[in-house]
Order: sequence, then C-alpha cells, then structure tokens
Amino acid sequence: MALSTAEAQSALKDIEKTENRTAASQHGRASAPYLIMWGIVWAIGYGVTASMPQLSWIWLTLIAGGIIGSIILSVLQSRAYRRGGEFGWRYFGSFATIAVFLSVLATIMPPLDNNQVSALFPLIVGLFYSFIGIWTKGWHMLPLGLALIGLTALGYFAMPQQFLYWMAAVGGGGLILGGLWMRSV
Amino acid sequence: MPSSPSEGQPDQLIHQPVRLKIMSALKALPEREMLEFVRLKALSGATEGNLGAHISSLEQAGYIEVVKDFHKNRPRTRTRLTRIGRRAFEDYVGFLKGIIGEG
Repeated sequence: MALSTAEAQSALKDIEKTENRTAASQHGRASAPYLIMWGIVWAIGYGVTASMPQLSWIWLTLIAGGIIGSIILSVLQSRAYRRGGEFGWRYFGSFATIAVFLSVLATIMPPLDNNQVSALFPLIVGLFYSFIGIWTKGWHMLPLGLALIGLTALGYFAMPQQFLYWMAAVGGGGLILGGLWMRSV
Repeated sequence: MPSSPSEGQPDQLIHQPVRLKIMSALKALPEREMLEFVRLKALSGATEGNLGAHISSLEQAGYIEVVKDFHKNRPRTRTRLTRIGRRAFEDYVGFLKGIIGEG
C-alpha cells in the first residue's frame, strides 16, 4: 500500500517531535547536577552572607568549590556519554565563561552596594539559562531562566532588607528545584 | 524481513507508531549512547508490555541492541541503535521525504 503525502508528512512530524523530546530530555539530565550543585552553593553563600556579613569571603571558597565540582561533573559525564562528553564539556565551559565574565564585569563596573552585587550574578545566570532555552532543544531552561530573573528583580525591589535571605531561598532553592525538575524531564 | 524503501514501500518494521517513536528517540542520541527502558517508555508513551514487544521485534531485525545489566543493585535494560538500524532509519526518513518532494 502506497503512502500518501499527508501520511508521510505526519510520520516526519512524529519523528521530529520524538527527536526533540529526546534531545530536551538529554539536555535536562546533563544540566540537572550542575543546577543542583550551584543551587547549594548559592543557598549557602547567600545564607551565610545574610546572617554573618563578616564571612563574605566564603563566596571565594564556595565558587572555587563550585568550579572544581563542575570540572568533576564534566569528567564524569564525559565518561558516561562515551563520546567525549557530548554535553558535559559544554555545560562546564559555559559555567566557567560566566564566572570569568562576571569577575571582569564586576572589576570594570563595580556595583554600588551589596544587594547590587548579589543581584548581578543571578541575573546573568538567568539570562544564560534563557538563551540555552531559546537556542537549543533544552527548552526547559527558558522558564527557569525567566523565573530566576523575575524573582531576583522582585526580591531586589520589594524586600531590599531581606534580599540576601530571599536569594538564598529563591535563588539557591530555585536552582535546586529546577535541577530536580530537569532530572525528571 | 523488512521491506526496503527502494521497493516503493516504507520499511514496515519502522512504519508503526510505537516502533517509529523508539527508532526516532534512539536516533536522536549520539552514536553508541544508550537509552534506559524507563526513559524510552516515557518518550514513546507506550505501556511496558507493548514497548517490550516492539523492542523485541526491532532487536530481532538487528535494528537495535538491548543491553541488560545491574546498576546500583537494580536490574537495568538499555537500548541503542545498531549501525544497520541507523541506516534503515535514515533510508526510511529519505523515503518519506521523497514522497513529500524533499528527498
């Protein structure tokens, strides 16, 4: 029995849909451990800075730990995917680029106060996640990125006194929940 | 034996909704990468028994490879496309595109 044009189009559409879902699922699973790890880093960093401002140096330790953790995750994913880490090295490279970019930006344009510094990081990360969602098949990153940007702005303007606590809960907690969500995609 | 696109018919083994989803999902992975049964079940939307039957058909045709092992003390079933399966799927897609004039 010969296939009609409509049947052929329908089959091609089904193929594309399944391939996209699979790719989104792959991206989600690859990025989930990074989100969870950086969520923990943020929750601890903001929480400690909010309650004990004299310990703000802890960020350096936490970020160094986060970068080392990202390298380890990248290596583990490279082994798991067998082909040199189809996704692993990209995620690691992206997080490392963000870290370098933020450091240079903060040096060139030093923000005025603590809240501005604290808002800068999640805003840039939210932008990065949104771009991943728009440009790759890992579309789940888009709502996550937009939520991060929106919630950061909300906390910054609506509760400046509790902003660091807000970021510990919403920024850190949000990344952890986002990571758990991505893992289940 | 699956029919070849060159005979003017789609590969009947692939041209079945659930098997088409299985092949599409596996094709979306990098070569040699495997997909766990549970994830394939979620991606294809098939029931466990139905999926198992279709996987067996594709395995018998040499289109996919099924690997069973233990992971964290739990039995795990994973599948991946074979080289023959990858080529058959590409031929199938080419056949469909030929019908709609994109081939």
